[in-house]
Amino acid sequence: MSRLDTLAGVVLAGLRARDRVVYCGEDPEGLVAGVGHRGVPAAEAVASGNLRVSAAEGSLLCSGVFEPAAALSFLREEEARARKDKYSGLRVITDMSWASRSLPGADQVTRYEAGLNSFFSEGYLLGICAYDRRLFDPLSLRRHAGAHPSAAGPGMPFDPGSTLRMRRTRHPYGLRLEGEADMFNRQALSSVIARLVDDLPDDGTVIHVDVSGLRFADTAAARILSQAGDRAGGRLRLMGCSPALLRLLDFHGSRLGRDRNGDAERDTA
Amino acid sequence: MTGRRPDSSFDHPALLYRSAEEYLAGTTTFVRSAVAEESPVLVAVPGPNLGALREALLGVADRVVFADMAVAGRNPGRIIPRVLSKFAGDHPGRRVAIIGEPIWHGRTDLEYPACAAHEAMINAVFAGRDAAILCPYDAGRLHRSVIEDAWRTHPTMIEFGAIRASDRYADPFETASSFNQALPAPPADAETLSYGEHSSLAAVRAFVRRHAAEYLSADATEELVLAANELAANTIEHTPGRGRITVWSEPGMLVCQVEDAGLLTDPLAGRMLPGRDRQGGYGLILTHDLCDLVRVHSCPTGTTIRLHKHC
Repeated sequence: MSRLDTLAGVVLAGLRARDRVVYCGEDPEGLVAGVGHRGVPAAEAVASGNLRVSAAEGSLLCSGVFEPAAALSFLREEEARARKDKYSGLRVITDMSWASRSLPGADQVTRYEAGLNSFFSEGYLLGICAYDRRLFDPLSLRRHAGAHPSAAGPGMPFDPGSTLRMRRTRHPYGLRLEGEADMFNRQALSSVIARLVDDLPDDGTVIHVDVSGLRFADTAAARILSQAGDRAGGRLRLMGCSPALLRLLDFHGSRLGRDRNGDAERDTA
Repeated sequence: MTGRRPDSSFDHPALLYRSAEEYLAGTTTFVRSAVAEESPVLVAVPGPNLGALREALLGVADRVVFADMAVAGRNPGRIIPRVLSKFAGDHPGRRVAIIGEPIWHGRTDLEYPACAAHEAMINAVFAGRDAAILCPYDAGRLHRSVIEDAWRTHPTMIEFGAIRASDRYADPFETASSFNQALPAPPADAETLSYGEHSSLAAVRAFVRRHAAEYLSADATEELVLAANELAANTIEHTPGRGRITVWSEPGMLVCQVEDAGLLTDPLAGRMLPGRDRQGGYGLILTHDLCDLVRVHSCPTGTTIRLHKHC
């Protein structure tokens, strides 16, 4: 399965969901033509505004340099525009092929990608970063993949059950985790949780992390949660801890999920 | 107490016994003298011996912590971090006295090399610590080669009521490496999965879950899934190549084997809790917690770790 086959599937899924789809990467015109040949009404979607395409240069790159602040503001602008145009959601597909070249700033990508997750966890935006396997060596691909909550690819379909979905909640202040947390989304989880603790208001608010939909968590995920509890000075509560996650928290010497209030909210005895 | 014993040192004698009387004489003397010195005392011996010893120590039982080694130490890889080091850590700055009986009649050939390596590693972990660990051996029933190994893993021996230095005691790391033995091949029809691509951990978990659920309870299945996930994550994080996972059943247990091209040279790996600030190093300890037996064989071409769960 080629890069364009994969991207065609992603674009089509976005259009079918009636979300605004934004592609940014190399050769945007080539993308429109290429996915068009694969049966996606891309040209029509561009005409109606359902699909917007732009080159990496000018959106993610400034004069050939990767600039995280500029890239984030590009995403913020696209988000504001999609909300103004009354789309119920926005899907941004970034073709990361440029990151395989030794561009100035390319070393910032993994950190930028991890930081993006707290932006996505607000729920409106779905981000898909396309990495062409042929352009990256396996270890750097693993490093990039670790910044994402999930990965998919030819012969490795995107499986919502085995990915980690993170969504910030306002009432109560916190986060809902669903799916599976393992080493491939460790950085993504870590950056979203760190942001949650950084943003914690100083008025006695307690962070509520709903883990009832977490089907699997590894020891590193439990450690991220327990360290966040320490950093939040105890103002972090887990809801819906599974026996397996409780065991891992115990393993790290954490009382998270076992405090009196936490116990009352657990749905497993 | 400090002052009474100026030579803060580590004692690790083996007690070779051939009868219940010999067993009780050796162990109760050890406990009573530790109690007299006000040392914290732990008795971790297998079930039947535990009952007899508890009865013999009635007068001082409230000064002694008892544990069934057949439970707490069923997996010999757990004994150092979860039994011995834990008890010592619960009493910082004090000399602790422990009876630890990790090898008993009925330990299988599969378990034995892990037990013997454990005995050797006690010497490395407790070197320089203020502690005494007495290891009883049932010389009447254990195989002669097991008693021979006890002479290699214990600096001092107690036999027929007399204590003497072992003339065969050797460097603990060299002794442990002599138990780094190749494992018998898995059955030819065992199911196998190769992993290494990013996100293949989800496939590893699904593979183990599917095969384990047939034999194990839901909780035990998830324990094995978690242990296998940690080992496969180690492959992906620490080795450049791919790994292979194989699952099969043997009488009374489910076996899950993880192989990769990494080299695991430290026989202490998985026996020492990493410091609080360490990010890694937890996988192997957790694996020992979750499984009934973990066998490791490492050589320059790669490492095989075999997990066993009783059905």
